[in-house]
Amino acid sequence: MPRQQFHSDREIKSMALQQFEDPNQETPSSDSDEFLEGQEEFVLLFARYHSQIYARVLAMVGSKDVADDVFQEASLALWQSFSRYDSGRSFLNWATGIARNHVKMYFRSHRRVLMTFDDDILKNITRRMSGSEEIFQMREEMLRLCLDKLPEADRKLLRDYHLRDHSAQALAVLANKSLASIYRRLNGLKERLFKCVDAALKSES
Amino acid sequence: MNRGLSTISKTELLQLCGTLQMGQIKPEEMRRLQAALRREEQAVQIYVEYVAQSVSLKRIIGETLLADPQSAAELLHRFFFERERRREIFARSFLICIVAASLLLTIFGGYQLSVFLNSEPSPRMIGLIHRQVPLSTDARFQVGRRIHSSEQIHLEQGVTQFRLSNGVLLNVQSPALLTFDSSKQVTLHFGMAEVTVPPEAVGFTLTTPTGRFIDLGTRFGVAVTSEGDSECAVMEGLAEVRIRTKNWTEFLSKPLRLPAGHAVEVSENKITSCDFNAVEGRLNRINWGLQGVISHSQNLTLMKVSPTILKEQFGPLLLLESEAVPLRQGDLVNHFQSGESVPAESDPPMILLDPSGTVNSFWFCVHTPFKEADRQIAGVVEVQFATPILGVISSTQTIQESQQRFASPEMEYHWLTPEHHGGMEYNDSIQISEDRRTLRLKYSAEVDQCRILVQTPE
Repeated sequence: MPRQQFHSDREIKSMALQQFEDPNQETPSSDSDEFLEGQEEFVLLFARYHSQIYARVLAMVGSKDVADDVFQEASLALWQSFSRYDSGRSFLNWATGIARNHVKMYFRSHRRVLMTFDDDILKNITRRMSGSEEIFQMREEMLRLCLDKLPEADRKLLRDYHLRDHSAQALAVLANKSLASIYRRLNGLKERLFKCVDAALKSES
Repeated sequence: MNRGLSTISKTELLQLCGTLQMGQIKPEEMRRLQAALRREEQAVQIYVEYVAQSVSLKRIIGETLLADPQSAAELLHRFFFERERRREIFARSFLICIVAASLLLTIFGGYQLSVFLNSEPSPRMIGLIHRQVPLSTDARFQVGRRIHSSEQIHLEQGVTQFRLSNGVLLNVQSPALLTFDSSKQVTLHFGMAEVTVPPEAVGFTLTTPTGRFIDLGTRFGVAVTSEGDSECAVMEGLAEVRIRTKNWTEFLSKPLRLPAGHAVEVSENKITSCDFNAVEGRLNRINWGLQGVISHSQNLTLMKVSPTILKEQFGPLLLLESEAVPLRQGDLVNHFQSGESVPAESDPPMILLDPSGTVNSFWFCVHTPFKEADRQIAGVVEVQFATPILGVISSTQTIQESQQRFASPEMEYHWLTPEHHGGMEYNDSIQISEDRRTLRLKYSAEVDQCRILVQTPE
């Protein structure tokens, strides 16, 4: 089946970038040294914040598969529009704005995939994401401890799913289990870890 | 600890977050999650913490894995050599963009850069055309050409091998129409395809008009017949077979698990067992067909399908079709000296096939449309093989001899005459190159049932 392309992708894309555009800013300098210096800055910023940008995309779309697609497109757009980035502003917030527009573009161009959240919920989510960086860091530290407490078989399952990129179906076949049981087990593990982190934070405080 | 939630329990909320991330959430569950996120600040906090945990989990596991040298090596190998991951696409695009942008800046200045920056994003690349016989001059089908998600490809000629980003190899015999839905799913509308799936891509699905074939660690082939039914043979491992109903979306609930050495036919509403050897034999031709490269002097169309389908459509056809034949080592074959042209004024000398090696056989024909007057075509054809030619079998006396030897499908050669044998004629000649990899045939009339035997690749 041919890919469903929204007929005015270019328009939407320019809309996505519009709000970050400075009308007084000139097109990138033709001086290649200056240009490459700008790219170096982008790489440094992107390397530092890409996990957080991805987390925000994932929070906005919900599904991991969709998040991967949107993040790929948004990353390219970030690089392409980096000349318009005002270094006085937060890179993460600027990138989140572009990513949010790409989320909308995605759901408009894939009409069969329903938009996960409406604007009100999206605003709630992005606001919470922005204000919770410190909590996320604390939780990550506790998550390391909680992961160590898991049996090796559970850690292996998470490893296979997250890093070896086995689909849940592949994991089901390899483990000789049903697909539903693999989903249940993965979700159960994540839930256990979440509650373990909660408990650890509570005891620490 | 329910963390101040009133409309939903924390456990339920976490479960909904999990099913959403895996793309498994049901509409009613989605509505429940949305309601909670709309009404309860605390639910939003838990949701964003859950999401952040998922990303942290991936990062922490990555660090742990990289700390183990063996796992790290395996991971790096997959990332950089085996798997064409999305991140890799981005990294490559990024590098290409930098080089391209630098060049554009140097040569054309800022205007060209702004045009470049505003270019359309390309669809996700999911694979590429890996091998081809014959090599196509059509830019749409050249080796190395990228395949994008949701792309539809109509193959009219030869055999083409696609390599998908997850390592799946797809050999397709024309004529065929395919839609590459993603690297995990391909739809074969018609044609024949053989699929080899590496362990990490288990779950790869080939869909046809009547069935769905899911890999469970295997090598399998699927042929869509002219009636639209599907035949499937599993050569290695296991595959799951499901019937596809008319509306193309639903599948009968009970799937069939098909082990190696078995074949089935899937029609509109039933799955029936069929002869594995027959189906596998047909599918094997796809693989073997990839071993030959063909050039020809005449304006012939090369096809690797049953001539009855295509004769009327395409006119003169050259067929070179590898086949699974009951050929035994020690069989007699016609033998031609290296680099020597041998006029076939009588039956060529016969030799014993080298019993120490294994052989592949190619069924070789030059066909014309079904018109008496058109049979007397003449030309020269040259065929190159990847492995040395061991010998040629052709019947100059009566075509039935080679038919008998190879148990070919029954055909009535009612047009045969003492002057026209149907196989190679007395004035035809065969020349085999010194390296025994190229065969040159000069023919004076339609050629049928000629077999070229080549060494099986190691």
